[in-house]
Amino acid sequence: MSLKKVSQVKVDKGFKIWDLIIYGAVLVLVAALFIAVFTTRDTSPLSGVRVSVRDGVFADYKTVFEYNFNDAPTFDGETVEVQDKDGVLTVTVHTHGDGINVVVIDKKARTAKVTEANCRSRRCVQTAAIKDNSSDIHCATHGLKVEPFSYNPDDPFQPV
Amino acid sequence: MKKHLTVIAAAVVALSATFIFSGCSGKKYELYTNIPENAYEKMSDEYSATNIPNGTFGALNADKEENYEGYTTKTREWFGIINTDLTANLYVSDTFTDEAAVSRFNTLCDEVSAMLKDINHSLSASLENSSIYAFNNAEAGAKVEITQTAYTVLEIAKNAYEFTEGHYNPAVYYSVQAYGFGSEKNYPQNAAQLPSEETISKYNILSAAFADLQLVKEDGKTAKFYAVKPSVTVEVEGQTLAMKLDLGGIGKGYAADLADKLMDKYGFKYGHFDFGGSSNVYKSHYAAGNYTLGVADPRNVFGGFYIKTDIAKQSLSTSGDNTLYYVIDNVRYCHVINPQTGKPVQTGVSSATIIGGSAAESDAYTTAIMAMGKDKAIKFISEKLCDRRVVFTYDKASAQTK
Repeated sequence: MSLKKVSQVKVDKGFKIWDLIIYGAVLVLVAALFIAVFTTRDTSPLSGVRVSVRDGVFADYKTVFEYNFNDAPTFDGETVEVQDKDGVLTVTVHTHGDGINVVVIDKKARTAKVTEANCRSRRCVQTAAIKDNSSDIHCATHGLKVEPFSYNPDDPFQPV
Repeated sequence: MKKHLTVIAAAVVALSATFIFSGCSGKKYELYTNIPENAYEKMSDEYSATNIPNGTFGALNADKEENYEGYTTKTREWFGIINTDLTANLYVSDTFTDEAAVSRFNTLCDEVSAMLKDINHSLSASLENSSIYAFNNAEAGAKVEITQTAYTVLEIAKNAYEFTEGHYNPAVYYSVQAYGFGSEKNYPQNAAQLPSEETISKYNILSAAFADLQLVKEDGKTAKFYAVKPSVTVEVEGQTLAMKLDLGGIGKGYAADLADKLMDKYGFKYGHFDFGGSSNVYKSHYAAGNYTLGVADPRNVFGGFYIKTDIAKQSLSTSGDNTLYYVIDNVRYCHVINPQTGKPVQTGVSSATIIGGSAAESDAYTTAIMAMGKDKAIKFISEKLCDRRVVFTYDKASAQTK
């Protein structure tokens, strides 16, 4: 196609008003979704930390540790060791296949982070600390999940 | 441009039609309850509601603090009782302003721990020194010494078996294992891996023998308790099998009943105890009086509720086909075994919830209601469970058998 013809096509098939309206609508939709996702995040301070593990790829997750920053932590003594020193809980979680994972919970700062893990990818160690109720840390290799939990025991509403 | 507009308009029309027709096509599911209409709120438009007559229970009579400033809730959790997957949670509310209240709470927790340890030692099917483990591994016809707790729970189980005309039966142990719902959760991946009709019919012979199980109490300086195993055996794949029991279901309810009494013993009138999510006892809520239950919709994968209702100073038991299940060839296989068929419940009754009475009994009755199917369950509730608040859900599409 000659340059002259290309120029002619550009003149004939340039943007029309409906093209612009549709593109505009798509942009508005994307922006609205973006805003909705970020404004509905639960950015309240971390209310509790729950650690769950699973014994295999198809197994269900089982809670092995919970801490709500008020009461003493509850945990499964067979798979979890907890050390409480200088305002920091060091939670060592044993997962399937000789997996060892260390979760450090800073009581004052209300943060939780995986600091050590002998998994292959070590993405869990590189993941940022949980600082609010909107994020979590997940290690697929070891089947380990560290997440916020916000069950309020004073709430008269009870899901069953 | 016209083409674009036509496609967009067609998509809008199709989406609108989908919404309109899904809204107009009637209710997908049914709920049946003897709770009066003004005492519950339906939370899902997917359900039609039908009243079951003859409910004779009175109004709730909750305690409540006029000035509840300073009240807070302490919690304690236990793992791996009866079954490795289970957790039990105690919630107790008080001001806890003095040492005595804190001390009472700690003593209560110690007693609940001891109680749960006894339950585990009596009823766990996997703990090697438990009564039920000993019973399950004894030969047919053997007289097995059991704990007083195991004896009491077996008495409750036998009564429930008769009361429900065999629709509750804790001797479906082999079917539970065969369908992959044992402690390992080895779900079949296809129809070929499901147990055969012949195998299931043999398991049914063993579970039917539950009617012949005998309980013996020998009084003396120290009373001794025994369970006599029925002498019936079957041959499956070259192995001789005798009856085995799984009392996990009502064991949780029994623990909840005991926790309720312990909360009374230590003077706590606010709080609740939850065992495995399905067996609960409620006291009152210090500020609201009643607790408000949101009962999970068994057909809402996003976790919604199908009704809301109040509870105070009562037990709550619930069973559903939505917690542990798998689907093969469009057929749902859930963890609740129907003793009449030896297979997972496929009556269409997708969940059952009972408020009131003993939690141990109600645990058995919710399982039985699922096994009975819609019509029998309505009759059972209106004739035999008038003093308890009962609600069950029905999903016609899930019904494989009547």
